[in-house]
Amino acid sequence: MSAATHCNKDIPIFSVSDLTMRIAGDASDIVERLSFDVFPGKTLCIVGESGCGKSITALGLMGLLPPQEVAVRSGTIRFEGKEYLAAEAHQARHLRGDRLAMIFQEPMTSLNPSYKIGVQIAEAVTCHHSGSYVDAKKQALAMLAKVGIPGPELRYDEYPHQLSGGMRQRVMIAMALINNPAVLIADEPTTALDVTIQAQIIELICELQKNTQMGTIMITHDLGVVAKLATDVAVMYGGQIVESGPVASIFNAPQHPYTIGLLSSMPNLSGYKERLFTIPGTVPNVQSMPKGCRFSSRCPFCSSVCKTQPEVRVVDDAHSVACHFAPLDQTLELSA
Amino acid sequence: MTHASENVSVPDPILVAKRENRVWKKFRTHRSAMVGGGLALFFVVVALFAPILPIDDPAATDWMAVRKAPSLAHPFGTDEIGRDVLSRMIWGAQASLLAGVVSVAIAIGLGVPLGILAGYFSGWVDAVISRCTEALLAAPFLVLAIALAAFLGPSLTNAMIAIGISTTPIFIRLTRGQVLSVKAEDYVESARAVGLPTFKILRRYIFPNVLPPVLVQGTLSVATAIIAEASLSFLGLGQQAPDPSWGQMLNIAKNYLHQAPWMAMWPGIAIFLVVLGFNLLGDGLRDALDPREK
Repeated sequence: MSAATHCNKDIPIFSVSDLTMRIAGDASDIVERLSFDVFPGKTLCIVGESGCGKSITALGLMGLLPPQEVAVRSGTIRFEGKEYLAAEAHQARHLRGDRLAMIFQEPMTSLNPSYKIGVQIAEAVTCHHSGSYVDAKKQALAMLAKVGIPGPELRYDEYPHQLSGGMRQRVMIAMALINNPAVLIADEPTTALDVTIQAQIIELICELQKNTQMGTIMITHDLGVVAKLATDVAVMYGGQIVESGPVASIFNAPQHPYTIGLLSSMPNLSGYKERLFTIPGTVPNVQSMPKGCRFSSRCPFCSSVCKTQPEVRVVDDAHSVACHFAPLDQTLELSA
Repeated sequence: MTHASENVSVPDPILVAKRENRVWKKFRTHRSAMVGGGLALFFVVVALFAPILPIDDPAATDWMAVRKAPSLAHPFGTDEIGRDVLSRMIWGAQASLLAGVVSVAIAIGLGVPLGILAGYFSGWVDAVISRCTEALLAAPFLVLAIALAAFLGPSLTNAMIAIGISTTPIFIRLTRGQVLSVKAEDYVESARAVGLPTFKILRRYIFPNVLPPVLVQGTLSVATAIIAEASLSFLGLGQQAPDPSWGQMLNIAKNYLHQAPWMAMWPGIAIFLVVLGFNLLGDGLRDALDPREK
């Protein structure tokens, strides 16, 4: 764990380039040419609506997708300077849960119903580090306290069904973070929880991240979470990253029509109440993705040029967007 | 997160009450399960205590009391060479229950690991195991057991092995199906995300969570195995004379149905009751373990 905490903050700890994945038997890719970097202590939020390939990306990044069902067609993942995707299965397994951790969407079903939660947390320690169970138990108790579970000694011996959803998500977080991972992948960790608990969990992840300087990949469709946590944002649509950049830049000057649509469909608590903006249509499924720009079928600015694949343009410092019209305001003004 | 901390800082009485096992509670109030359990328990106790019960030697013949109807001296009557039917029934219970339990243990011991392998690894492992299972299932259960027992040679041990092997495919299938659904559970995925080795996932995440239906099937299979053992013994492929078994007693009794009906009646009733007992017990277990009925 020393390597992670003292490493250079300007060097990405987790770097994905050109990752393309395809479900066996499908004609087109479920995730296409994904590239992004995660830096220590920073949070990258991957946003997008349901079905845009967020969760499969998360599993793909962890290396949890069964190779016979989902094929990685190209791309590399570099983790702590080493190639992760090409690593031997047992090496990758030793990284998972130790250096690279994941929190799942569904705390209600993500814990083994047959064992006490404490045992499950301690197991995460003993399977990566030599040392006695007693030490692991001590660590697990400390971690339970750290994630804000009251009476850790009491809770240690409880089964998952005895805990509420929020508690279980805390347990999941304890399990993921107990080995001080360098990178945490959180797949919609608050979706299944009610709003007040959501805020607490986000707060908790924030706090733990501050202390450990881990890099976080937060997958979400909740722009409130993004605003609260993110340092960088990648907007996904139809299996591609259509826009990425620092959070302020994305929120203040969105360039891709899809990002603009997403941001305008956020309800506003103050000001004049009007009908909420929606992006017409739904994400087309993988088989029927339009040629060229995948958003073209729903884009208000769509024109003939959109039949070709847009290249990624850098519009601003680290802010890049895959749209023929980027930067949007200038291009539209010119054409008007 | 401080808000949540205030809610539950002392042990909650509701939570403590929850700790009382729901399954046991449900099982305890299940009337037919208790009847079945009682029946099964009765036979188990009788079989276990056979050596110390005040009964006649099951092999002792008495030429003065051949085919005698039930009386005070011989409450269940005597057989064709004057042996006490009651004591033969009690010693026969040992053979029956032993056969039931041991053969199901063999079937679970073979079937569950194979089913877990087939379900978890899919691909060629699954193909090989599943095709073998189907081949075994293609032969009727009893025919297969008879063939195997005849092949292994007539003895109680071989009968148990034959019944055990014939019952195995049921457990392979059941376990495989359960594994297919359990391995898609989030907690298995999260176990892989934690980096647990495959063997540990199989042992601690898959196995305990496929166990409940296996237990139910196991209990029901004990009943089937008891009938199978009685059938094999009836055909002379199970317990060998002079050691008593219910099936073998029925085989002899069929020759004297008119003269000494009790010789056939008692083993018949015993088989009926013990099979009923295990079936009711199994049904009760199934209801108690069924998560949908909570």
